Amino acid sequence: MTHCNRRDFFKALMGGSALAATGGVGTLYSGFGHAAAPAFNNYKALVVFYLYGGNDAYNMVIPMGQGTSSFDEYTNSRGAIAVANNPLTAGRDGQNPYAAVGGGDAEKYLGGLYEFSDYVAGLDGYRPDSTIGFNAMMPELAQLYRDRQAAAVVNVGSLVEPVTKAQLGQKRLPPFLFAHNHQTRAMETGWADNLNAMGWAGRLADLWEAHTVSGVNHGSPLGMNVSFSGNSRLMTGLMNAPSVLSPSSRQLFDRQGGMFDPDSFRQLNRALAQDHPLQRVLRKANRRAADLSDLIEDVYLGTADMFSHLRNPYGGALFSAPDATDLALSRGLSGQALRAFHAVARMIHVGRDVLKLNRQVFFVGMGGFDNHTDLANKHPLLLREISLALSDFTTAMSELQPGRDSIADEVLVATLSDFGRTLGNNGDGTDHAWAGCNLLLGGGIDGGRVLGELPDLRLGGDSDTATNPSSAKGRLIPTTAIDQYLATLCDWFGVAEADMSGLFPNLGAFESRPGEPSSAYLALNETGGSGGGNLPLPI
Amino acid sequence: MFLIKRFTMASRVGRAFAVASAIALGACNGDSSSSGDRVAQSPTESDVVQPESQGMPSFNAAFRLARQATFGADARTLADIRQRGIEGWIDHQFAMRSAYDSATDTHKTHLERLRTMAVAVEPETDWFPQELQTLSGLPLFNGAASRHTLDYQNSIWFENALDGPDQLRQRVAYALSQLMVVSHTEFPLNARPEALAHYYDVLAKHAFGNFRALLGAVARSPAMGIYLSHQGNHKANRARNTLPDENFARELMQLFTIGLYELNPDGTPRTDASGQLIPTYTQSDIEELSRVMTGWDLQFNSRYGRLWQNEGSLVHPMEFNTDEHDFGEKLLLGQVIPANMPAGRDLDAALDILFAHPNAAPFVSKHLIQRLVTSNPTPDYVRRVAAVFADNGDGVRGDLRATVKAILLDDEARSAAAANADDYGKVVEPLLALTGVLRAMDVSPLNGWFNDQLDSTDPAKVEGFYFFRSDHRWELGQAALRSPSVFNFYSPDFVPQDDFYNSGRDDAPLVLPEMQLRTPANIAGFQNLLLPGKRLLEKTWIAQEHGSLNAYVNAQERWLDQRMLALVDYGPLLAVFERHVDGDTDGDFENIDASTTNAQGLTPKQAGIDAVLKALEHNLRGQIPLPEPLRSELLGLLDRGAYFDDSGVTAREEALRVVSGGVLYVALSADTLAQQ
Repeated sequence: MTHCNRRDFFKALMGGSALAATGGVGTLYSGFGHAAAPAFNNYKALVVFYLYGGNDAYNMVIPMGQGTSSFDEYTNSRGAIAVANNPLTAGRDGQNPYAAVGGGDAEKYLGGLYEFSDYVAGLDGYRPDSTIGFNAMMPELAQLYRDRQAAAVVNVGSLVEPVTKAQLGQKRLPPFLFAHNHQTRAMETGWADNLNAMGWAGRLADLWEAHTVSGVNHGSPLGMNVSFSGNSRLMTGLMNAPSVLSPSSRQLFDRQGGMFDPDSFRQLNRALAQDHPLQRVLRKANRRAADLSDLIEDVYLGTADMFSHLRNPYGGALFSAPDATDLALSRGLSGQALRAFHAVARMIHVGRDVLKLNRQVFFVGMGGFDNHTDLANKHPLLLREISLALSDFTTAMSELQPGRDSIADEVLVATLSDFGRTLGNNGDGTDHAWAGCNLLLGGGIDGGRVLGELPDLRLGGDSDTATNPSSAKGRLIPTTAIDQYLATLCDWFGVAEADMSGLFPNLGAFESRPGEPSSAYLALNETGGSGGGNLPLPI
Repeated sequence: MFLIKRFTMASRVGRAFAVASAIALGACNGDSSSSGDRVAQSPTESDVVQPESQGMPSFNAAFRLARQATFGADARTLADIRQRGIEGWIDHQFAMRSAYDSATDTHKTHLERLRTMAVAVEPETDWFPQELQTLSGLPLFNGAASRHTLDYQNSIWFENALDGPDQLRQRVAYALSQLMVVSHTEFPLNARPEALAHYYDVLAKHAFGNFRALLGAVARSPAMGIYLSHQGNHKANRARNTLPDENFARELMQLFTIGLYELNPDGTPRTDASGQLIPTYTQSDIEELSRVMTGWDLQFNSRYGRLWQNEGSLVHPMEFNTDEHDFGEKLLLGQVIPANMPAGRDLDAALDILFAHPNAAPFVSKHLIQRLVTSNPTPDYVRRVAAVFADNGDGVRGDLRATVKAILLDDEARSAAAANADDYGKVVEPLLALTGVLRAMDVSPLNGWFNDQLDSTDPAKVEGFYFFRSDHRWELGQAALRSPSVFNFYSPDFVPQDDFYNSGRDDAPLVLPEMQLRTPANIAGFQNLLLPGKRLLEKTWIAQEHGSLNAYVNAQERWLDQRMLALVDYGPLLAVFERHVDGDTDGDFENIDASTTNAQGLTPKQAGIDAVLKALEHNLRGQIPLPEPLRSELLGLLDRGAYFDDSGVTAREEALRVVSGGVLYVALSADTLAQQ
């Protein structure tokens, strides 16, 4: 039996040279021609931060606009779960500003917010957009927004074509609105009315041929897409499956002194001509596990302490989960997002600096957002963790790029969630709805801004799907399509405009200049109407 | 077939490796002058292809059924199936008394066993607190008394899976737990896991009953009430501008009964004139149904809707509260539920409407087929089963016993030809892969462990209980009743990244839901769990490293930090190995390095490895040999690989290494995890 030497394999891997000859691994790359995969000479990472269950986005980003988008209308519609306009001071410096608000978790969560109306413009004339505020649980996010590193995308949701309240019966709508799985699917595919499509990041990996030696990332077994939160459709294409890893830092396979050998395992799982399709996909999964086990052992485990000298806002280790005492809340954080962002930070170092990859998409999932009951006691911990995870991740990225005090421009974090929730409540929770808000962080974007339009916040108002105020719950019609949001991310990531409508087939419906996909993008930077993405230089 | 008779006549009631030994012995002792080369030709393959003359199912046919209908093919189950026949075994499982219909049955409910275990491990803990007793007048168990109760509840789940005689009932309950999902994630289900044990009992109780009765019990169960938040749901309150919670109303329709779009009787989606799917319900139906789901609360709560550690029963059906219920007329799926129905009868009226919906039969049938038999049943298979769900032949709809029987006796579940189709079969999910290996390895509880994390100076030693730590993020990526969301561990429409599945059938991709869990982390996690001397408590390893099982138990600390306290035994495999190496079982493996060869050209060690692989193929693969050339390569690895041919260790240890490596590679192999 021929043993593939793991060290040789990795030497080949890290040099990005021909791999296909290395035994069983070759089958990972076989069967593909060499089409037009772009040759990037720079690095970018897109981190998709998925909030499972449907985030109550309007208690995270609190509208403070004019007229029907005003804070007063927000207060009226939200009733008992409205956040009070009690201005707090943002910070990432270890303060715990919401501790000033007394009472339990719910009182702190509802007791105040970070707003930006008092900001004095500096020499550059910059002032953060003050038509939104952030929940009291998110001082770090508020500071990142104030520092121009974070932005909010408001009232965005799944659409097939633009629709107003008057057009609700006439325009095509995404099927199965308000249902978790299908609206999650819409976020995963970027194609709201095609439930069978593969994921947009997976199809992008196909487009860029991440599975071939001549494609993006030189055919690294890590591929382009890495998930620390399970096997998401978003990351899966026809030719490319994500590397699904656990955020824990332990190695994958345990050799136990030689009882188990990943190289032998890879050999014993090579494809056979007579394989049943079940055996074929299982063998491939086993080989993938062996490849990644090698990779983790050789280049990832050693990064476990690379951020250990850094501190979170409480003075604890970066990415550690503060306990209830630190937080001045009734419970500590679950740490699921913190752990995953720690893993992403390490893997960005591995991808960018060790493996010399060009493009990586990371998937981080966080659960717990489907709060039909007890929102004011459950949401605080979640928002607190989002804010801390983004803050710690920013600190880590700055460390990777010494000499800069901002997150590395090469890394953009973008949130997604199944849907927004009802503005109205069911006693102490909220139900499934439609438009919500997302956050953007890093990537060299011009933060401190609100992208998209705030909705009419009145129950039964122009943005509500329902008309009768006595039965209207505030299910808000999106004013920006998820397709536009995702296309904007992909533009930043380096997807050519000509490829965009293939990736997001409904994008054309949102173009202000028909035939120009870029006219549907959101502007990530203040100048540059087509999004101002930093397009990579072709080699 | 001499083989089978030999086994069924054997007095030893062991598990799989009793059969392994029997096979080896059968070939060996059938002719007292036999040598290793005869052993290497044990007639397993002829057993696969030749049906029994008396109509007894072949070994492989029994193995297939065991994989579909139990938590793993152990020798006892296989012998039982072969003796009773396929249908006879199924009928026997149906007819068996159970904890749910017999107060005197020795096999207790999940809840009863949870209470017994909790008291056994922590006798000094106040499991029956006064506060609950004052409210209820009953000695109510409260799992919040310990932070290990989730572990105990999970351990009892494993006890039922590994040792329960009512395998089919428990396996169907597990399939139902993946349809009507609850999870420990929602407070206080995490603090008071008796709710989970009770919920699993509801599923097991109705697994052979009627689906409509199951729906009623699930809708009233505290676990579901808490998980999907209709417990404590309020009718609309105009003054406070609140409307009822829609959570359960939505998922009850979408996930538990009728699904999102209309189905044909064969489970394929119906489409309208323009080719679009036809939604089964509208947002208005959800809002109407959410009004039905008001007024339900835990028994023995001090105030409506309360969720607290020391109040409310999580093991009694929820009760109806007049004040909080919306008594108005409701319009559900075009049918009127009249106003002022008493005592929450509108819940039953609503469940009747969903149960009668044409989608329910194909929707539920297809789910059960996919969990038990195959990921991509043909529409005809779904139609045949759905027809039985719709009418069991006596005019009864929703008869789960008849439905399960129709699933398991269908030609598509039984015929060898169907099993060979490219689109057939399913991936064994990680949890079932683990129970399967453990059952095949003669698993038994470890006795003498104890909870040494208590303050007690004299902790109780535990006898007769498994311990499986509860942690849904653990190595496998799943545990029963620990789904990350109501959408279960994996999506029913997960398509693996493979041309064949993507191209699909009839314009739709083919799915492999369980494949979604075969991530590198989970594959490696399973590998970690199967390492003897580490996570896996294997008798021979323990004896080698600690001298004896007793010495090990006496020396061990921090018991509850371990993943699994369950003993497996490689002894029978070692005996098979030695019999082919030495011709005896005295434990010295004296010929392991001999270079003599038999008629097949195999050295004694190679012949021993071949016999071990045969035994593993027998127990884990239903006697289907591993494919060549991988089998020969594995044999070569176990023969000459550095770890397996280490001159620095004793022959005995080398033998143990060979057997352990064989188990590991075969258990993890694609061939073992593909269920066809």
